[in-house]
Amino acid sequence: MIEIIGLSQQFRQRKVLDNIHLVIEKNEICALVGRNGSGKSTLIHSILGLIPYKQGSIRLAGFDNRSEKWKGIVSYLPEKFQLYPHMTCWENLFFFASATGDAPNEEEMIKHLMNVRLWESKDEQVKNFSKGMLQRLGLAIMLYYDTEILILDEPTSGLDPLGRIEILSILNSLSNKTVLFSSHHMEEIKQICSHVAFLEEGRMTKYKVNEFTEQHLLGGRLA
Amino acid sequence: MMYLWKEWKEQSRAKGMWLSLSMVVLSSIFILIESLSLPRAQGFQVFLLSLYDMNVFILPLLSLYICSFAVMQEKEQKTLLILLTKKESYRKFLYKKAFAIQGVTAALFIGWYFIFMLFAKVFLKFDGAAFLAFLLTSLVLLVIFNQIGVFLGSVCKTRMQLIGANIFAWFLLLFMIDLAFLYVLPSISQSNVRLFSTFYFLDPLHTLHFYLETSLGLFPLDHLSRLMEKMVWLKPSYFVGMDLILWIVVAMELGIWFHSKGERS
Repeated sequence: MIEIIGLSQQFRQRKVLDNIHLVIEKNEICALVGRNGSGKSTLIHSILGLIPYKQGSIRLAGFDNRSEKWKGIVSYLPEKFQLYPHMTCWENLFFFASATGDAPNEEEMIKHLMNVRLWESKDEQVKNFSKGMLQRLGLAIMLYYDTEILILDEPTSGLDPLGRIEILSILNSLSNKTVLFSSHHMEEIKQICSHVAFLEEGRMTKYKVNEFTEQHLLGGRLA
Repeated sequence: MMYLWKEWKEQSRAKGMWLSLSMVVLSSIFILIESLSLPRAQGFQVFLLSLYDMNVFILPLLSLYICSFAVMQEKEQKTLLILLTKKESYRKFLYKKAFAIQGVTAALFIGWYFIFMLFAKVFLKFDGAAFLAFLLTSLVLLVIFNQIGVFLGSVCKTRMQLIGANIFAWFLLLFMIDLAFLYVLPSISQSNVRLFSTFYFLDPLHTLHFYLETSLGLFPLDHLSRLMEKMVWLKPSYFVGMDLILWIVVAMELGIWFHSKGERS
């Protein structure tokens, strides 16, 4: 469960997030939607404790995100990541698996590489990967961590239709996970999400997915 | 150790580090060829000093670039973000990253000098103590500039900014500081020489050169003028130790501080 209460973020004179309230229940898949520059990345970075905040509180699975305890509960996949290009797929996964502080579990690594259909390419250097393969490797890293909460920043951005379908089907197959992912594509949101958290001019509104339309996104300008 | 393993894999498969090494290898060979005309008795010491003097121009620049870009890449490739949301804090990340990159570059460049000395032994009269002094000097030079590189990589936000910062740091430490010292030199007297010396020996390039010259016996410390005696108020090796600790700690802490300040703003 992700619980945000009264979160505000201001950079110089500009208020990016204004008294945000958002609760994402356990096992819920929620899309974070908003125009470019609406504060989606700021919100995600605040949730992950990457940007400090003065006003409000954020709790992840019951833990305040200003303590270090939440780190075993959340996995994050940034937008447009590249990983280590000269290392192989297997070496990348091995290194990130060790970031938990425990010795990497090779059986789990094999399972997740097979799950994202990268087992055949495990010895290939990541610099030769397509965008879709890279995104799937990122997902394999997230899945290896097996955390309760997954946060993904535009996981399908820049992918061809087939790549999108692959990523969405992996996300759809997840069970017992609380997922927050930012996206601009209404079709994929409707495909896998139960709720939409809409961010506009620093303010947040949460909708059930079937209540949210593209008109909300355009601020009623289509009507 | 995982960071060291990862850094080795990344650096050894990229071309940048090998290009850097090839520059050091080529210039070392030229210095050796030049030194063959020196008298055999003192040739080895003079050869080592010439080798160090050449290093002063190349190694800092290579160190700055290799290390700063290694840190910058973690930011650009977003691997830093993934790591920070796991068990790492930024401080822990930067410590591990610095340790790893220091280990890889030290193994490479110092490893080369060991191999190179096998060749040099054939042509010059080898002196183990002199070689160790040279090795220590080169290692400290490498470590300090690596750490400055880590600092710049941590502070800069874009590649262009980083390129500019690297050139500026190199130019500042190699040339500008000496110009500033030359400017104040006429006003140095018995009363203020100690203050001058403190600042003078905070510059690792001055300290390391002085340490190497004295260790090789090319600058004897037992016939100094009174002013110079006051100037050298510590053993050269203590000045080296002081510089090493100071630069590592200051560069590391400033790197962490500026990074967290950037996040807050």
